[in-house]
Amino acid sequence: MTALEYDPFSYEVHEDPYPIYARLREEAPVYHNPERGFWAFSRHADVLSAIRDTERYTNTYGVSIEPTASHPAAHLAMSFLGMDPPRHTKMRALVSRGFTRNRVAELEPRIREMAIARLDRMREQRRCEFVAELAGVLPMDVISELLGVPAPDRAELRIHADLLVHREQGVYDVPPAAAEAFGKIWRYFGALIAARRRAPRADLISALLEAEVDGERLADTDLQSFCNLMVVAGNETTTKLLANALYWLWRHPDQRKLREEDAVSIPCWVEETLRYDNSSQAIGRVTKVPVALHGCEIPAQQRVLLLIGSANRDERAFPRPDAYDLRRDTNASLSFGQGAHFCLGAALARLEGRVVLEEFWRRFPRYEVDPSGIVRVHSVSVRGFAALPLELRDV
Amino acid sequence: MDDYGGAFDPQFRLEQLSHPTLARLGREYMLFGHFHDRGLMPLLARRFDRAEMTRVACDEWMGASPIYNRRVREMLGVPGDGVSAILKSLQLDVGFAHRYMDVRYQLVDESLGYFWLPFCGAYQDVHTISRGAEAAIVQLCHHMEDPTFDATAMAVNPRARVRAEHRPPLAPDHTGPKCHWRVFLDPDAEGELAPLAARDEVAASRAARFAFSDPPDDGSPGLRNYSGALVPHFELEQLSHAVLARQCREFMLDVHLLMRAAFASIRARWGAELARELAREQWAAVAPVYGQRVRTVLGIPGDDMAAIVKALQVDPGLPHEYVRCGFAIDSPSSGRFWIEDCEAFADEEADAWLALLDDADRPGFEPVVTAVNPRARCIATGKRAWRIEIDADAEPRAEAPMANAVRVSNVAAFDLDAERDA
Repeated sequence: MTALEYDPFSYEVHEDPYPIYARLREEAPVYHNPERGFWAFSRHADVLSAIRDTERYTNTYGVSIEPTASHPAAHLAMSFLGMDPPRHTKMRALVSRGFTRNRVAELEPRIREMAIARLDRMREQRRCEFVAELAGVLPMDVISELLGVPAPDRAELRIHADLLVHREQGVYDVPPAAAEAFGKIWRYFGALIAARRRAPRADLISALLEAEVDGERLADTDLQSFCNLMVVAGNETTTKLLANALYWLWRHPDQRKLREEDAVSIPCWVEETLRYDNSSQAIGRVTKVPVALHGCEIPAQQRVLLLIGSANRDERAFPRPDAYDLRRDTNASLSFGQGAHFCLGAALARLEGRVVLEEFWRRFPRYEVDPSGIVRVHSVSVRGFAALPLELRDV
Repeated sequence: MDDYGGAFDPQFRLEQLSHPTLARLGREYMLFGHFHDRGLMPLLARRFDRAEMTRVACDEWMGASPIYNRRVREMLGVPGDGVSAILKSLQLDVGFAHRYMDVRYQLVDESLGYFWLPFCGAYQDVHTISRGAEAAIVQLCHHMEDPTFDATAMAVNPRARVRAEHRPPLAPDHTGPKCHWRVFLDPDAEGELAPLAARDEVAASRAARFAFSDPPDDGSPGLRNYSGALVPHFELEQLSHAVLARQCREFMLDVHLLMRAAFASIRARWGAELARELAREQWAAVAPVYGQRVRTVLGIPGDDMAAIVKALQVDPGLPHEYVRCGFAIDSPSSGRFWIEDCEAFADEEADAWLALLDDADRPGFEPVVTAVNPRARCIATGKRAWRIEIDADAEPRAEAPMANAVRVSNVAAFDLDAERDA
């Protein structure tokens, strides 16, 4: 048996991380990679308890393992995701005043319109590259819509957003282009926030400028951080969800048949895709105190990677974990995290997933994937496709 | 349309609302059932005692929930008599008003499942009002839930049982779900649902058999039935638009069935006169509170005649089709409201809930009207026909004293939009 080495930067791992996850769970539930300077938890129970534990683990260094992104000012780039309670509690409460479930739910007709416009264009071509033509653009458009980014600015903002998350092979840190894109996004939202302060509109930024909890309000920089978080966390993960759903249903004809027979609904399709192959594979924490687990001693100030992708395939939590089964119970899925940092955008992601797949399925239930054109994205933490070519046949 | 803030439309139907707005309204209509308990139960506790109150509450939920759960399964094509059918029924049960009761469901197989509540509005309410008194909590989480959960499950399958894995009272340092219940089929379990007069009365009512018109295929996406696999995070938004509109009417009718059972129980214990009296007091107590919530969701502003008539049009006590109403505005200070012959007032339905309120001298719907404008009055002009007048010089009608009992409950201002811990 080969020595167990887990390198989240490796292309081989990106291609299929699940075999190595299975070995980690069996052989090294507390895995240490001294070269890259991180520990990794892979079992469901361990990921769950750490992800909820804000006493022994801190978010203040961010949730990434890239050195440049891992620093005590991570909250600038990721708002409350880079904070611990009580600061986190206060900031999240403020943001929640504007980013409400009703505000998200009210986006449904608009998301549908945007999805239909793109899908109808595809119908004429009979072929499409699903990521470029829909999955890769729609989530950023939705965020723009929600935040109130004017239509003429959206294309340029999308370019910066793509650069922000793009990673080349062999690069183990935040590349300069991404750092530059962050600066541009930061300044763009700075200007937009200033404009909304002068003349509020019906958008989320204006609502957040008004939000108040116990007499406190959001400063401009707080809002800039939140807007950046929306771009980082709400954009690419949703892109991946949409393409992953189409890919995995295509790979599983038995499940596809259930969908065709209406024996499973689209929300079930979304949930099982999230469990089976979650967009967000790993989330980082840093130990505040020494942590003992499975006979290992992790010192304080160590980076720990919580492998959500592995936890969701843990046989201790899910029967037949490697089966893509749209009828399964997905309650234990950790796709959106748990506890204080539970994904604020979960409802938005589910809504986008449902609406896009509803409209896609209405048009192209006989779609096929062209496997020769598939390109996987190579990212430390995000899993999905950079390109997913489809053949579209009419109903 | 995103709201009903525009011109009064005499033919207004729920289907005209946008999907997100209709789903929000549906959650309000689910909450309506809890409102009625917050109106009725304090009246009973005050007049009798908490033990009597609990008996009526058990009759109410055990009497109606088996009936409306059967209705919803038939309407949505929920197949089978296993645990998935029970869990699906609970997902659409007005007792589990979405978000007020944050219920999670787990289906293991057709003979075993679970549900649990990370947040429970009813528990929070009782806990706050009773200042954590164990007796009040046991009354809710044991004495009421034990028979009523079983009744709901047994209506699907006589061998089905619901048992607590854990439930309040909770230790002070308790974390995690407030309660956790196991739903299972017990092959050795005996018998049918125990006979219950209130349920017999509900089952025999025309309301129980009333069929809303089938939703047309409006081309909207979303679930048109619930025959497929259990949806783990079920939300009203997932239903197709026409099916959601019918479901909203069904939620309203479910409350009629609950009230029918509650007042059957009251009538059997203390006589018809008291039942009529309490029905009126209850409505007067709740109308000022829930009405404002519904108007807020629908963006119905102000206190003019249009606001009054619109409030009646969307009142959860008046489900379209089951109650056939007409509305007109004749002038800024004068409008009309009438109820045509319909199932809710059929001759043999003398004990239907709305029939209890049907009194020419004291129109039962006046609390809805005065909740919008305390200077408005309903004047009976014929059989179930009223003129509504706003008299700017009139003495404002005082709110029913028992409205305060409803206002102090957490249902009154419950924020269905707020984020709660996952």
